[in-house]
Amino acid sequence: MIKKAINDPKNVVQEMIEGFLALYPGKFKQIGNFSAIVKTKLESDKVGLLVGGGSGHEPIFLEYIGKGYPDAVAQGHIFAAPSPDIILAATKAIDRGRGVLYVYGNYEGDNLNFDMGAELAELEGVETATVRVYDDVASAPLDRITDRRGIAGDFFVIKIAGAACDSGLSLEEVKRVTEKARDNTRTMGVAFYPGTIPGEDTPAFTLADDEIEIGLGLHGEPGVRRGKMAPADELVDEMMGLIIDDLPYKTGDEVCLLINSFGSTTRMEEMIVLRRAIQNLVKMGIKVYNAEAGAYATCQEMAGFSVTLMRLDNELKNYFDWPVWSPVYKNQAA
Amino acid sequence: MADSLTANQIKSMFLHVADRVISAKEVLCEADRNIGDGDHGIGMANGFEGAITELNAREFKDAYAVFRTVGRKMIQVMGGASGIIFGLLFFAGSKNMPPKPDLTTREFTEIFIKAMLEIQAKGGAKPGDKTLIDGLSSAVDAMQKSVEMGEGYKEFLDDALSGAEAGKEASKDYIARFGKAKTLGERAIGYPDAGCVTLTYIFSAMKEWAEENL
Repeated sequence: MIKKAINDPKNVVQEMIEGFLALYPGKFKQIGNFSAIVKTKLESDKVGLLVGGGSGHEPIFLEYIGKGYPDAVAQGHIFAAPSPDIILAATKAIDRGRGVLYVYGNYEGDNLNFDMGAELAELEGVETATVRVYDDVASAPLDRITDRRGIAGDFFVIKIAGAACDSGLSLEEVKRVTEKARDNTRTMGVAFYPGTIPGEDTPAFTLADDEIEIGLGLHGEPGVRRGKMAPADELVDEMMGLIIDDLPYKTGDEVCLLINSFGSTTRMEEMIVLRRAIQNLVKMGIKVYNAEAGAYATCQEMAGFSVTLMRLDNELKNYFDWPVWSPVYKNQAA
Repeated sequence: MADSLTANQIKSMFLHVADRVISAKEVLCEADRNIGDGDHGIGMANGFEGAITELNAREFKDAYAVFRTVGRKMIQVMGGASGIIFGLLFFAGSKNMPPKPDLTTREFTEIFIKAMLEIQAKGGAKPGDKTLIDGLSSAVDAMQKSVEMGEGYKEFLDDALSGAEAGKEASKDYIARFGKAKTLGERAIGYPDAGCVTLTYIFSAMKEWAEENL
């Protein structure tokens, strides 16, 4: 059996939200009985920012809320997009008359539910705009980029969107800036062990002892290719080659780097991988403006990691440096 | 031969469908695990549990309202792609219909034709993309033929099930163009679409209900 610290699997999302709210008393609150949370104090006269997706990937999206960050988060059941009713409730909770931007990973479920949420919001007089994140290089060829999945690249795209909203830009402008962040972001992942849906006894996929899954999805859905386990440096070199050729990132570019681990990969491994990723970038003459390593988007106890790059220009740099405080991420400026 | 079903009969039929789908939760998760993320049965069970509560909460005089209630509840409580897709399966063709105490097989078929069109419009899938549309389009074809032949509900639902089964079988040969299976390419061949599997459970339960009650 799979051992997890849960009660009735049906209650995992609500019980998680209750625990999260208790960690930050007074800062956030649940929206009615919906599995959505909102900042207690909303800054006035700004475009609202709503993010969301299936639960089970914490800290994303639950903890991506704060100052210079999203105003509300809509959580679905485990690995399932939030329903339009949850999205509508969150949209209404954060609209200050200037509209609401939706940022989420590009999956059929999220697209369908957020689109229907947007339709319902429009009926109630709230204008919305949408940026879907599709950073996963492994999930479709470049000529079908809008078929790609959103994975750890959410981290950068949400950072930029939060700053753009906080700076007071219009809905149209925050959408433009957020799309620019998305279009300059690429990710590639590799899985060593699968994760399991709480309450289920069968993992989402199985791997032989010496096998790894290249290009897996963040829901544990199978990836694009299986290979043999290899030293960290070889894995990083292969993954970065695919990322760099895809945009492509070039000598002289400035990038933010994220090493994201999927749940049970250790801090030690994050550091080893980060070190090699930076060696690769230095060798190519690509400047690392900022590097982060941590578990920012996970899949339960799945093991493995992803490498994400976001290419910066002056505008994106400004929003990347913008003050942010959130449970999951904060910077010096805040 | 039953030519029409009353609102109450349709409610009773949906309660049976809900029981059957909830009991099939593990089978449906397994179907999804083969080529997706393995949560399909959980979502479907959530949706139909919500539908049972709504259906039992009141009496129905309008047959369309039964479909509408089930569909809207599924959209509200499920989330995920299947929440919208299976919600629309019952909601899209019933949402704007004037009240009617009973439904002929022709009117019943119309609901599923409208659902098929709206699901395709919202999701973009076509037959052959390894989605619910494969089973649904095949079931709709069978239902239309049955209506033309003037069959009663028992035969009609039996045909709908055969259509859904044929669509499910055909979906095994397709490469997925939508959903979490789309990155698998040829690795998805040999497995049916999980939504098509669920559709066969739905029509099979409807057929069972008709055999026992008509």
